[in-house]
Amino acid sequence: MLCERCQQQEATIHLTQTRQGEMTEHHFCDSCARELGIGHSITDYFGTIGNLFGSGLLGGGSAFNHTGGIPAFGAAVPRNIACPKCGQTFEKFRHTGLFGCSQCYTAFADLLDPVFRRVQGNTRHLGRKHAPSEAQLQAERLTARLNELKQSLQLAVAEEDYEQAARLRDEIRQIKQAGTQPDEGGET
Amino acid sequence: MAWYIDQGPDSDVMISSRVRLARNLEQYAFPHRMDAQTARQAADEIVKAFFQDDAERKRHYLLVDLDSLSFEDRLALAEKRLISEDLAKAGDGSFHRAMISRDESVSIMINEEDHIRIQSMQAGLNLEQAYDAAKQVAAILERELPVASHDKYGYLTACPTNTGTGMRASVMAHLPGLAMAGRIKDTVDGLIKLGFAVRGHYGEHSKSQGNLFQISNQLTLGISEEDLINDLKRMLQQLIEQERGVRRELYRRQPLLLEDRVMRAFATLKSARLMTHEEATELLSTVRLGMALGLLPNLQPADVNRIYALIGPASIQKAHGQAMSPAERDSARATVVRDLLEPSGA
Ligand SMILES: [Zn+2]
Ligand SMILES: [Zn+2]
Repeated sequence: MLCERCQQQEATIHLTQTRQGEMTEHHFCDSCARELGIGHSITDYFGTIGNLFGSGLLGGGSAFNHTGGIPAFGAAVPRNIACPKCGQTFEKFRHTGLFGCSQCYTAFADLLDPVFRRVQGNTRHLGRKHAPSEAQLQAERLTARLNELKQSLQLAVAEEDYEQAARLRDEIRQIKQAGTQPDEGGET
Repeated sequence: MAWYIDQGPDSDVMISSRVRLARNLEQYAFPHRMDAQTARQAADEIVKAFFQDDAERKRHYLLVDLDSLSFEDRLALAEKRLISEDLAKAGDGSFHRAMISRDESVSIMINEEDHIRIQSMQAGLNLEQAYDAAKQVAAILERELPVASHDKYGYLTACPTNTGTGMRASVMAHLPGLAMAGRIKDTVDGLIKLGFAVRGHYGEHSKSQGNLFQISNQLTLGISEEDLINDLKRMLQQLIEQERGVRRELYRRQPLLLEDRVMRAFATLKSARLMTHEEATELLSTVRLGMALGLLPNLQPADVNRIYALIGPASIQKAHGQAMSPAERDSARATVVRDLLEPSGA
């Protein structure tokens, strides 16, 4: 099969991706895959994490080892931009591979697209949104509560604390009746 | 239930599934730039927000002040994979905390690389359930705390490799068949080409022991949590089929040789008086393979998983309660292994 991008070389990388729930297939040759940043290798064989992003520069200095690193840029990068909140400079970020605080993302905004394109192959979040709707939170809390209660119930039964178990069973029943929570079958 | 007690789907190949979500508080610098005062404040706020005055949650989760634990005790938690190795090895006085569910399926690490790391584990291949549990904890914390997020970048993390979903979904896979067939390198290379990360046992830095591999997603930006889990899961199902196929083929070709290896490994585990961690892990790998091939009918995957969780150097030391020399540890380990295998006979 030929690479779908260059239509010249044999495709060696076959990808099935789910995006927004839709499945698509892709076939690329090695060199196109590399250009597209597919599978830009982050981990060496057998887990020795080396220099992660090509000629990148993962320095020491962070409290934790982490799987990060920032690609080297051309000479034109302003080195002295600093985050107004935590004082970390972009230069330091490049060096350690870690942001100083959440404000750094805003402070370095103009410089981050190439960073994320290289590190993540993407520049825009598509997942779960923070500050989800009240209804979504409510539903999630209810499910969380139910699961906790069910686990506590198991523990109570295991510890033969039947008074506690009865109380928990009542509360579970109440939540199920009050809420929209579908019953996933009685595993009590 | 804890990953090493429960038996999950596809447990002949997949030991456990884990989902980790990273979250940070808007108002504080990330942990690597926090002073002690701020770190304490952040830790207190997170703990308070999580427990509130919820008696049930207080009953269900144990708050662990990692600074007050000995180095060995922290490592023992890491060996059970309840906290990360990095957190275990970090120094005292950094206001590291963990909230660990009593069934050991969920832990919330505080002041690791990010302010909050929620980790949820399941036995076998069960990423969906692991994600659900992690998401539920995230929802509680996000409601109570000013969690840092951005329209474009999603959840903001200290390291740009976590930005977006802040999610790392991973499995611990046991691949003795592919290893014996000399196909591990190709397999791992293939996984990396597809954009997954592969590491040896214990996640962070150590080499692969006992044919255990941690496989996880690489990217966190530009793909939703559900899509990511689906991609990972589909790949893993293919990997499981490959591993099973190779095992069957190896056994078909040389049944006696394989049986001999398995039975020798089992006999050694049941009789040895001294055992290093490395030897134990290698032998357990062979026994686990034999179990999957039906050669050890009285043994369950959970029997082996439990041993994995209890024979790390720190766990052995902790169970013993006092300082031990390596030889004493090897002796204690051999005893633990023998005791744990005893009831299953075979
Ligand atoms: Zn091509
Ligand atoms: Zn900053």
